[in-house]
Amino acid sequence: MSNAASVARAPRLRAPGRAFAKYVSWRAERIADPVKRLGYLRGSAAYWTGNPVRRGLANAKLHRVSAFVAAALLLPIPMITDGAAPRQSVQASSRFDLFANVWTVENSPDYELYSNGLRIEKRFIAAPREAVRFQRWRLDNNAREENPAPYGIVFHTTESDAAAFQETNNRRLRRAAEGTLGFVQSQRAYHFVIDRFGRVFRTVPENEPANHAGSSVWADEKYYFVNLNHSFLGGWRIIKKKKADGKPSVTEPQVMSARLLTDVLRARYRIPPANCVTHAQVSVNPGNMGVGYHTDWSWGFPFARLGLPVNYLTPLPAITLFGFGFEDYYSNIAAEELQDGISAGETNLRQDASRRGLSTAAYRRFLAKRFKEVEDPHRHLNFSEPESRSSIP
Amino acid sequence: MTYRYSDGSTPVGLDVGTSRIVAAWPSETDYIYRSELNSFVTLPGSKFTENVLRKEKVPHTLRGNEILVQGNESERFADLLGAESRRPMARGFLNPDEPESMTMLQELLKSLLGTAKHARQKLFFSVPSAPPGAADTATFHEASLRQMLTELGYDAKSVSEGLAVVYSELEGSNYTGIGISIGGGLCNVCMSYLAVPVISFSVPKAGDYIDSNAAAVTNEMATRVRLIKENNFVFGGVQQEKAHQVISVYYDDLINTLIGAMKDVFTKSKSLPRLGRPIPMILSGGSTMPQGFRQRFEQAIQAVEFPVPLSEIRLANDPLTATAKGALIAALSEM
Repeated sequence: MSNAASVARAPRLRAPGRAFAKYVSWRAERIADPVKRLGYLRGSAAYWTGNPVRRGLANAKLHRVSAFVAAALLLPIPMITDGAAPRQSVQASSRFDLFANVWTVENSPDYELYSNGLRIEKRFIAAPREAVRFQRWRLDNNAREENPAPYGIVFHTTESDAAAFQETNNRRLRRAAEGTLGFVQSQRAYHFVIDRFGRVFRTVPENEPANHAGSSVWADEKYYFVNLNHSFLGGWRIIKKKKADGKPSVTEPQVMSARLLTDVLRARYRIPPANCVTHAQVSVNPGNMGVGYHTDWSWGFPFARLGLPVNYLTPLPAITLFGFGFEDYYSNIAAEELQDGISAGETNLRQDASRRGLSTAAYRRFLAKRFKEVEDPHRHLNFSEPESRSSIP
Repeated sequence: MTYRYSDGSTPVGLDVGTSRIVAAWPSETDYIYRSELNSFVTLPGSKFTENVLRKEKVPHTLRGNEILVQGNESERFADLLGAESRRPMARGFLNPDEPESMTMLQELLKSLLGTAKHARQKLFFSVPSAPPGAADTATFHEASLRQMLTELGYDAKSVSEGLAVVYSELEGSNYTGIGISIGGGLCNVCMSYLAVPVISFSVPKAGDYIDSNAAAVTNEMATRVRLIKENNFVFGGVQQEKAHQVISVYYDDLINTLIGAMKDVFTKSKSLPRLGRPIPMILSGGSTMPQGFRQRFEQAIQAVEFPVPLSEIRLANDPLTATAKGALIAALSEM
């Protein structure tokens, strides 16, 4: 043995700070494979071991946003801005996996009544068409799967002002609701609409697609979904009014009805909580490869009051899987909640790129190419790993 | 599992212990392990002996007029010859009193692992932590091992033994907890927080300490004491056989020393994270195998004011392979 032995010591890894550790733990718990979980944790540690000044300068904006993610996890998160929201934290996530025990009590031509008190009006339902099978793709091998039941729910809202919610506006509110319902019905735009009085209307049968999501991307632990009109239950829509300060304002009856409807849909179709998301979280613009093309519910969605985990914290799959980016203006306009998902997605993207020995830009280009393949309806998916500087021979 | 390189080869996890070297590879559904005793014995050289060894496929090395039999067969030959086997490592590190230590260790690694299939084949090997207050003790050992493995063609990286135990057993707590490996030469301790080693140290007392001291008291050979310890010894009250009683006494001494050291280090440490909840403690290594060890260890922990709240104390699923498995998981996580 030669005497040239030397130790090239790796830098001492550093655990994330107490605030960020909660986010890291939360995300790690969602990774079932122990090897991948360890890879994620070691990647996070390596990230936090880097020179903080250099890291901060290189990514000043994202660093600031990441800090917010951690803070949001530590603090009880107020879910709604105009009411006495219960104080919830993400830690109690296990209870979200339970499904409510609800059943149909009455099913008449005009309405359905459920055991949890939900009443669904059928007056504005669109003419039935041929049922379709909802689709998804496996993350591990890109195999396409179909199912007659939807895989998730996308929550929408109107983005325009409406009349104030008070007794003197009864007639205007009713008329506005009926106008919207007629439009939604004719356009087959959503499956359900909840008006400001909390009335729930079915506008498109659940076994048919609605034109609600447009270009969109989402993923859970095992599957990804592209163009969610054909994957997720076509969302439902809360008609809201923006307050003077720009903060969203939903009525208490709307939130209560939304909770009941979500419970019924989740129980009926066994929809996991991770797949109950807002339109802003899934909407993308393939033209400029940007996330957040539609911004409805980019903040302030009352996840906790609907018995759901705060999915704003989920790294946006459009970024992590397909390399979508976000416009600068978006980070200013869009609310902090969606920025959490953007920031987490960008962090993951950088770590994934680093693991493959690629620059973030090069890895993003590779993922964008992957998205073009996914978008092709006649595609034969056979993704390969990117060529990296340290590729295995 | 589908952790393979394009040529079908896989990363490797390696536990280089004082008494045993264990290697781990991933299979389709689980992990595969192979182990060799980290020892050798010297036989007088002759053409006849060499032919017999070759015919029987016994790993051996010719050295002048001597034949060195290494690995698992060395124990049998030592028993036949009535001699103590020689050890490339002692007290957790390369044996400074053994002139053939590095040569024989390299031979052992070569026969256990073979050469790498390609230059990027990752191998994570375990290294002991330094005792408290002796930070550089492990430097030469680690550098030598890395060089041996690099010469075999592997992309070799080290992982501390206690941390490998955490990687092997504590995915349920996001790799947060205390991993302890009680082997032949050292007790290695690592507290990990989200897979990051926060505190690592070793205590220079382990199985060999029990063997040599019990051998001195009972007037037996250390090898024989080790066999008694590994095959028949059970923790209990007063032992009927003298050897068992003596082993029990030294085991208690080992446990108390280890717990005392942990208490001391954890209490004085400034880098102890604020955990917020109790954490698990995992025991592994060959010296944890006797029946009743975990209970005895738990009793001893409860008898002191341990500074870290513990949710459980349990044995690794397979104490003999936990370190190699953890090293392999670390290697796989970097694929």
